[in-house]
Amino acid sequence: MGRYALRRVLVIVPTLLMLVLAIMILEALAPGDPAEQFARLHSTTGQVTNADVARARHELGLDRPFVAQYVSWVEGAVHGDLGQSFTLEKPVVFEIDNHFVATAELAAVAMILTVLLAVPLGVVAAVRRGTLVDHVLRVGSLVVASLPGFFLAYLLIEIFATRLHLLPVAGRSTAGLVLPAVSLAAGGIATASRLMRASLLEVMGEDYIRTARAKGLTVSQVVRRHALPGASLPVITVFGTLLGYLLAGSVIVETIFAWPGLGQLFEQAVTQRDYPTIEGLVALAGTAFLLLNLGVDLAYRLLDPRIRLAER
Amino acid sequence: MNEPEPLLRGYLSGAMSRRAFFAKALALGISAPSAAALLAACGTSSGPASAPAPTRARTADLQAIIRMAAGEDQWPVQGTGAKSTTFAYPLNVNVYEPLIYLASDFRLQPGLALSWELIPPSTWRFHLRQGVKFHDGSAMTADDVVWTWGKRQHLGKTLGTVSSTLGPNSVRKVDDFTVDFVPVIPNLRLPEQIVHPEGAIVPNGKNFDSSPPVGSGPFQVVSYTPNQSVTLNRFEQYWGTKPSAHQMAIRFLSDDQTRVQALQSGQVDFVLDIPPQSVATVKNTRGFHVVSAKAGENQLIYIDKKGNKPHDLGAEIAVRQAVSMSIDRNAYVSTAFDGNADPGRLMAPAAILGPYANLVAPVPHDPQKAGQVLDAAGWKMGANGIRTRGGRTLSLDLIGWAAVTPLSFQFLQSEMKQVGIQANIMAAADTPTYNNYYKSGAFDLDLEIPNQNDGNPAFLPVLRMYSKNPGTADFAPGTAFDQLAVTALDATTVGAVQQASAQMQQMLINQDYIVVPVAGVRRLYAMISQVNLSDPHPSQTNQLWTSLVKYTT
Repeated sequence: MGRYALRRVLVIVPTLLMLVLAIMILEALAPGDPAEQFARLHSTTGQVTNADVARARHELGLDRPFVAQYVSWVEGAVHGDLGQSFTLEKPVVFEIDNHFVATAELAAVAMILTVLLAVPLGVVAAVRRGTLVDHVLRVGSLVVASLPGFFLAYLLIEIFATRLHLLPVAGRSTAGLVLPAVSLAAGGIATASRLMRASLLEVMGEDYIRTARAKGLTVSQVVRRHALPGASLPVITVFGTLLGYLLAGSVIVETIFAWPGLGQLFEQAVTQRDYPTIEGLVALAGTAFLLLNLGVDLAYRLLDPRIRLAER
Repeated sequence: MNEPEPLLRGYLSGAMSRRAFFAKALALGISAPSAAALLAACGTSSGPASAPAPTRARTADLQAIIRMAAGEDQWPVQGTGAKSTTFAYPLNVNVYEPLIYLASDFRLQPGLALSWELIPPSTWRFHLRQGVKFHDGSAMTADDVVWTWGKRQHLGKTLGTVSSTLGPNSVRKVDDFTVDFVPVIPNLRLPEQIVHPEGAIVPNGKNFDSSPPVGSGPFQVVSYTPNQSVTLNRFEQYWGTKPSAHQMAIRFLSDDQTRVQALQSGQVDFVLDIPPQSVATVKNTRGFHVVSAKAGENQLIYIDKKGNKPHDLGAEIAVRQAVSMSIDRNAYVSTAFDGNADPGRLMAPAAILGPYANLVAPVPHDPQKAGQVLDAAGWKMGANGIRTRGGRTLSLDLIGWAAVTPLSFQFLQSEMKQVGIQANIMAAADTPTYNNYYKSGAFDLDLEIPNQNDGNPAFLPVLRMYSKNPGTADFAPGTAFDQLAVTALDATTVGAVQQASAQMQQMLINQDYIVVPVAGVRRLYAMISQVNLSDPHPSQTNQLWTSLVKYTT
C-alpha cells in the first residue's frame, strides 16, 4: 500500500510538468497577445505602438525562447514561485491564496450536500425499486442532471431570493453560500444518486447478498453492512472527480453569484491573457485532480478487499 | 370636465390611490379607458408602476444609504501599475475630480478651476477655486495641480492625450491659485480633454492608488474590497453641491441578470447598466423604474478601404455605400436593443456638435439603391442571393468588439444579405481576441462602440481618422479630411470645432461611406421607485452620483 502510494505520488510530478507544458503550448497558439494587452493597460493614450508592445514583451519575459520560459516556470514552481500576474502585478501564489478560501468554502459545502443527499437518495431508490418513490427520484434526478448550471442558478435566485426573499442573490456571506452551493451540488447529487441506485441494484443481485439474507439479516442490515461498501466504489470515483471540479473553481456559478473564488480569477486571467495566472491555476487544478484520483484509488483498496488480494 | 378636475387633483396630490381614482371615476360615469386616458394626459402611466411617480413633492433622505449594484470593478482589473486609478467606472470623478467638469449636455463646467483662458499663442491659464479641501482636510492649491500635471505626468500617470503635449516644465505655478499650462506641442483642445477622470487632481505627492484614497470629490472612500464592494460616504466639506445620499454601498455583480435580480429581490436600490432586454421587465414591475441617459456610445462600422487582398473590397465606394444603405437602423435598434437605443446617425453624441449636428445627414435605408449601386459596379446577383463579379464573391469579414452581441452581428449580417453581400461574422470572445483580429488586418468591416468621454467635439473623428495619429492607417480618408482635422485642432472657439467635426463626420458617413453609424447606445439604470437619478450622463466615465437621490417613504 505504502509503496503503491509513493509510486503514484511520484507519477504526479511528470504529469504536472506535461500539463503545464500543454497549457503553455495552447497559450502560444491562442489568439491575443498578452504583451499588447499589458502595453494597453499601461498606455496613457489608449493607443500602443509596436515599440510599446516590444517593450512589454521584454518586460514580461515573453521574448525569450519557449523552452527558456518553460524551464523558468518549472524552476520557479520548485521554489513555490508561480510567477507574477501580468494584470494584477502581484505574485500568482498570492492571488491564488486570496481566492482559494472562497472556493474551498463553496466546494466543501457543495460536497457535503452531495454526499449527504446522493447516497441516501440512491439507496432509497434501489431498495424501493419500481415503486412511486423510485420513479419520482429517477425522473427528478434526470431533470436536475439535464438542467444547465446557469439556468438552475437563475431559477434558484428567482425562487429563493427574488420571490421568497429568503436568501441573498449574490455575494460572499454565510447565507450567500447556500444558493451557489446548491447550484454546484445539484448536478452531482443527480448523477451520483442514479449511479448509487444502479450500483446497489447490481450488488443486491450477488450471491453473497443472497447468503446474507438467508442468514436472517434484515434488508437494512444487508444494505448497510454488505451491499453499500461494494456498491460505493463507482460513486466514490464520481465524488472524487466532482471534488476536483469544485476545487478548480466554477467560472459560471462564481460569476452569477459574485463569489470571489478561483473561478472568477480564472475567467479574469483568460480574458486578460494573464498567462502566469492561467498556468498557476491549471497546475493547482491538475494537482487537485491527481491527488483526488490517488485518494479514490486508495479508498478502493480500503473498501474492497478483493483489490488488495489481487495485488498479492 | 368640471367633475374630473378635483378628482385628478386628489390623485395627483397623492391623497388618493390609483384604485380609488378609478372607483370614483366610474361612479362619476367616466369609463375606465377614459380615466386611464386622463391619467395618461396628466403624465402618469396607466401601466403598473412603470414610472417613478414624480407627482408628489418628495423629500430627499439625507441620511440615506443607497445600495448600488455595478458590473465590473475596473480598479483591480486595470492593474496596480502606472495607470492605477480609483476613478475607474463606476467611481469616475466622484472621488477625484478634474479642473473642469463635462456636464451631461457636454458643456464644460468649472470644477477645481473656476475659470480658464487662452494666452496666445498656446498657454492655458487656470484660475483655481479657493477653499477646496481634500478628504484628509488639507487645502487644494496650485502645488497640487503642478504635482499632478507637472511631475506625476512623467510617470505616465495622467491622461495621455494631454500629457503627450506637455514637457517637463510645462505646468507652472503663477501664484497659490493660478497655474499655467504651456504645452510644448500647441494644444488648443486642452481644457476639453482634461475633463476626463484620468485628468483628476491628486494631492501633492500622492497618486490614484495611494492608500487611503484622498481626493476632493463629493464622495470619499470608506472601504474597498477588490471585486466585491466599495463604500463611499458623502464628503461633508465638499465645495460644491453635496450628494443628497449619506452613503453609497456599491457591490460588484458582474452578471447582468444577477444585478437585475438583486434589484427585484430588494437587496439593492440601484443597478447600473442593465441589458436593454431587461428594461420592459423592470418597468412593468411595480415599485421599480428605469432611467436612461442620452446615447453616449455609438456603434460604428468602420470599413477598411486600404486592406490587402482578400480584404480589399472596402476600397470600392460602391461596396461601402451599399453596406451603409443596406442597414435599417430603426429595425436594428428595435431588434438588438428592444428599442432602448437610437438609430445610428453620427459618430458622437449629437449634443457635442451643438447646432452643427444637422450638417450630418442620416443615411437612408434604401436596399433598392444599394442594389443598383452594386449592379452599376458590376456585382451581379448570384443564384444563392450573393453577388459575384468575375468569379469573385462579394464577401466581407465582419469583426467587432467583445461587447457586440450575437444578435447585433446576426441582424447586420441579414441586412447585408438582402442586397447580396455576404458578411462573415468573426465574433471575438474577449478583447485580446478582437485585438488579434484587428492587428492581423484580416477583416473588411470593424464594429466598434466608442464612448464620448471628453469635451472635444472632434475627439473621435480625429482619433480614428486623422492620418497623423498612430493606428489610423486603415481608415484615414486623406488630405481633405486632414485639413478639416487641423481646422478642428486649431480652432479657438467651440463653434468652430463643432462645425469642423460635423463636416468631418459628413464626409466620413455620407460621402466616403467609411463610417457606418448603426446605433446610439444609451446607459440604462434600474432602481426602486424611492430612488431617482436626475442627471444621467451619456458618458460612462463622467457620471456624477450627486444627483442620485433616495426619497423618504
